[in-house]
Amino acid sequence: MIRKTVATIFLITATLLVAFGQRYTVSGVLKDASNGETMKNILVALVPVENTTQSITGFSNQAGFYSVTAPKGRYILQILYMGYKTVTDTIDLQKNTTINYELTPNVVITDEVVVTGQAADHNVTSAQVGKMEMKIETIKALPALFGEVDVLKSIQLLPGIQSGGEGNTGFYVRGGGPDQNLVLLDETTIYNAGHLFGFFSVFNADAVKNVEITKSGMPAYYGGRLASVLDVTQKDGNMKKFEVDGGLGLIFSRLTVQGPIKKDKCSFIISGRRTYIDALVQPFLKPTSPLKGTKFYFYDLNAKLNIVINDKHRLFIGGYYGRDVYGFKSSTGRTNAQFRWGNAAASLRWNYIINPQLFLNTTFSFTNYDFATTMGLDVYSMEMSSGVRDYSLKTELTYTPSIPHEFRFGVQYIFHTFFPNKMAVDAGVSDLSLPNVDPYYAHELAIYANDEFDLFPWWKINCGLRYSHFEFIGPFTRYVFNDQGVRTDSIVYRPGEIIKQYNHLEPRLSMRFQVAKKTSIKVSYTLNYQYLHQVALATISLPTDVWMPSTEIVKPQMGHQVSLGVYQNFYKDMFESYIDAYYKQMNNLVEYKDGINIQDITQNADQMYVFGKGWSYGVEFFLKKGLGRFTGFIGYTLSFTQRQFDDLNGGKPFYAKYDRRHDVSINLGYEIIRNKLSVSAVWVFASGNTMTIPIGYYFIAGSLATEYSERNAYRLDPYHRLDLSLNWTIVKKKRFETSLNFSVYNVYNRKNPFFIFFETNTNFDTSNPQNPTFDMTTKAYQMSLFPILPSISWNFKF
Amino acid sequence: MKRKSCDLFLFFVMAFSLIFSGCQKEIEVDLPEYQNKIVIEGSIENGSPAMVIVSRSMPYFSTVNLETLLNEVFIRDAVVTITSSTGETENLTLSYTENSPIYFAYMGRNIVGEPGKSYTLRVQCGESEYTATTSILEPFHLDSAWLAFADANDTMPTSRIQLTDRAQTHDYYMFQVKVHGKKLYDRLWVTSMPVAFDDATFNGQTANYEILRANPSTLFVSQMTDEELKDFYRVTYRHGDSVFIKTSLIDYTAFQYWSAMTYQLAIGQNPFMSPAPVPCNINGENVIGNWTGFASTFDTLYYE
Repeated sequence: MIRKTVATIFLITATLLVAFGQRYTVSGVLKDASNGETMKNILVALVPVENTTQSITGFSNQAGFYSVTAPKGRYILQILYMGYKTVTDTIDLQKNTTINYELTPNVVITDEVVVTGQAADHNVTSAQVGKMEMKIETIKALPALFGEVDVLKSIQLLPGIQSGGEGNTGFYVRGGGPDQNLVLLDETTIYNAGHLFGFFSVFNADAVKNVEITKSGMPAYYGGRLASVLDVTQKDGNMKKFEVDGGLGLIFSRLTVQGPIKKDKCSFIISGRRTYIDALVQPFLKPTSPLKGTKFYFYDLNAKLNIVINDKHRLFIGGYYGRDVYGFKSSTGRTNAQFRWGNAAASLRWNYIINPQLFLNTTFSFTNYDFATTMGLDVYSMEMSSGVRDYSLKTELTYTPSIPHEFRFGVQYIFHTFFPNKMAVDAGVSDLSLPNVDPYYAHELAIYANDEFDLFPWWKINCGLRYSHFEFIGPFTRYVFNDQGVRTDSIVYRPGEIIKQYNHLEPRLSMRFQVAKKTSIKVSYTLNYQYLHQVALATISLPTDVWMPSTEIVKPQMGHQVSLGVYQNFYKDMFESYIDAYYKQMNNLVEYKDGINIQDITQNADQMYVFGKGWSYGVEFFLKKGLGRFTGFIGYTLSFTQRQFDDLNGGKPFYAKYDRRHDVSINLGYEIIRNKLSVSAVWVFASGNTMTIPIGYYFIAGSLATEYSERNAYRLDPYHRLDLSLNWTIVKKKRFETSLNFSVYNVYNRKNPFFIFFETNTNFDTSNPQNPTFDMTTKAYQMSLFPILPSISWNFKF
Repeated sequence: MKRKSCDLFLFFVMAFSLIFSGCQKEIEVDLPEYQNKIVIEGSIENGSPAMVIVSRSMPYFSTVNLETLLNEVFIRDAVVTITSSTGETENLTLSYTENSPIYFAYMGRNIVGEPGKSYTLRVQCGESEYTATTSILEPFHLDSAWLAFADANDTMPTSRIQLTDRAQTHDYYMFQVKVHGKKLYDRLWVTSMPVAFDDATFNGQTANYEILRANPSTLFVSQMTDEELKDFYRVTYRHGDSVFIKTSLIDYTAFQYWSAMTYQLAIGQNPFMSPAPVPCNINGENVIGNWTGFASTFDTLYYE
């Protein structure tokens, strides 16, 4: 079946090639002239000199590689990209030609820039639905908490991408859970993208080159998750000159060093951050302060080596390492606790330009996320650890036989190791020995083909097929229980023995119908399977949340999504807009059983789950002004998200935790003095999260017990907030640049609900048994995290 | 050893509250319409008569005083009957008891719990009838119990027990403690930490556990001074304490109930935890509660 499909695609491609006759290709790599960084998604146009036929265009890929094929003849080659000087070159295309270009940044951005690259009408012309890019410059200009910009928080301003709230880096795309987002850093999966309990993400904006998110119409080269792909690319390192930049802020400091090891041949970048608020505060605390003895910090380090072997071969070696540490010791020393968690990721990427039409990208990557805690109370101590580790190899061939036509074929293999909660207890004189908790091992394989082409000039198709294969393998011990929860047997699987395997085909289709020059209609359908699951016990995402594979008990999550959108640019591409509606159906969703003890090591971790389905639908509106001194965007989402589990909420449907009826983001920026002074404002509004709320109480076991509502039957107050920032570039010279950022977070001091809680006060006076008194009242309180918070951060570059 | 799963999350909550100085305000919460439920809490133990408390659940924000407690919460006109598996029947009578914070319970006199027997409870409240059956297992004796000191300088010990589990049965243990004292809460048996556990990790083995003194009902804390609070919440013992440890074997249904109920009580009003339903072994409409048979033995420790 798969063989037939792939063969058919190749046959169609070959037929098209023959049909086009004598054609040649101009190809090469596009780089930024200031630092040698490769540039992706740049429009390259060949305008015929001798006739009036339409120009032929193509885009550079993630490695900066472009390839445009046209009939032989003379052409004007134009490369146009906002913020860069236009490249114009004359080409006599009599054979396949390779030309690399370096684009020089414009010092002054004028209002009159009319034709641009990706930023202009890509929105309307591309077939892909639901893919959005956020430039790192845009992210850096946004107001931010404590003045520290954050990639994940910024991306959550886009419609359809919902924030979990303050203190939660988990993000929610079109009704999907946080585990349904594939987060990639240089093609390496990051399993926990949060620092400091989610107040910041692991992505250091100084080391990031590009951020893209795909929330629908997911092409076949992405897979393994139902909801979205967040693809973050690290900078490659300046090929031209050494550069140091950094910043001092209230929470942490940053430093990035990059430069050529050999000019235009090899470069490096190292970027690090470290928080210090805990160290600064400690000397000023009273000995009785509850904060005394508490340490809490994170640090991370990004590094990359970029080697141009020759015009055809290029190597990238990249890595990330980050840690969060939280330690607590009581004043008496009897109680102590330490939590440590973090990601480590490394990748080796090889780009090979086989010929002007064939590009090969091969990546080997490693990623590890681990969480460990130790807690002590007198002689009792407990250690608990969990994590996930992947080794992955992916190779992808991009074939560009003609423009507009791009065919991608790839294979990806991942070896997963999951470490569920493993516990060790030292209970002083205890002679208890706890059983070993086996890791879970799994193979994941995907083979895909994705083709993007114009069937007619007005009808563009992006279609693909992904075959995914998953094997849950031994060694593993499966416990067998009877109806009363008594373990009656164990099944022991040998190393490498296949316990359960799944095979699925995932068709993907997106189509764009150009109904007018600046108006298009886009439709998409995708079917995705997800073999990995992360289930949260608490009502917020925590670093303790464990990743688990599909097993013979846990079936792969499955998601269908259809979307229909109208995209329109107007006023010479000054404004871009869209309206996009979607419906999503998800099966085999996973939650913990009610009241489960996740530290129970007497059963397999996957025996603590229950399974159900979910659905989500909504409509998104987006309007953006990307050009000129006054820029900004408005996004609005209306959505409905529900879940239904046989074993939860009495089998009745319930709204998901992050069912968000209304979600609004408004971002406005204005450059008061060009390249000197700019202001920016962000206003967000979101319907409150749902929660399960106490509705009654009763006396039992000598205490007061609570009776709860149906699951998530109550909705918190809405969340809204205005942030302002002012960026002042004090010095901007060729060799030195310094700027100050003033931010005010939550300008009108809105007390947004972080959570609500209840307090019951009882006055039970039994001092006179003959005449006792009793009074009891219960009140509700709302906890908010951040009031109005002004901040300042200083940034430098030399 | 099992620990309550909320331990870890409590640390996170603590971390949140320590690091970020949040602000708090009182809010009005508009609750859906509430339907009261009948709450039945009954037990019978080897060597003791049955005790059943029948009350009514109340809307969450109701204000309760002694008058409403006695007239609206507590149900005094129920007809409560137990029948043993050997055919004996007894109507329980409403009595004043010092062993409940709400003072009134339906108490038995003639039928005393015996190991190996089962008991059926029947409660008639107005038009509604509720029934449940439980049984008393064979009691189990600890190998030993002692006060455990951290080191030679430690003056605040906890208690530890050693038991040898029976290999041929799957056993569910429950521990309760109390410290002899004058206060009402000193007279109540309180579930210890851990509350109830099974022998899955030590079937047929000898094991020892730390039995921490748990705090009794939080109903008592509002008027306490800081010193009294510290004393109330201590998990350790002090000079002069007489420590009573009750070891009970319970059946699977009761184990499920007590595990869920203590989870529910433990998460209390913690906003980060997902509440879970508490199972009920009582048949009838709109009812909460449990009818438990305890097979209990007692040990006493003196800290002189």
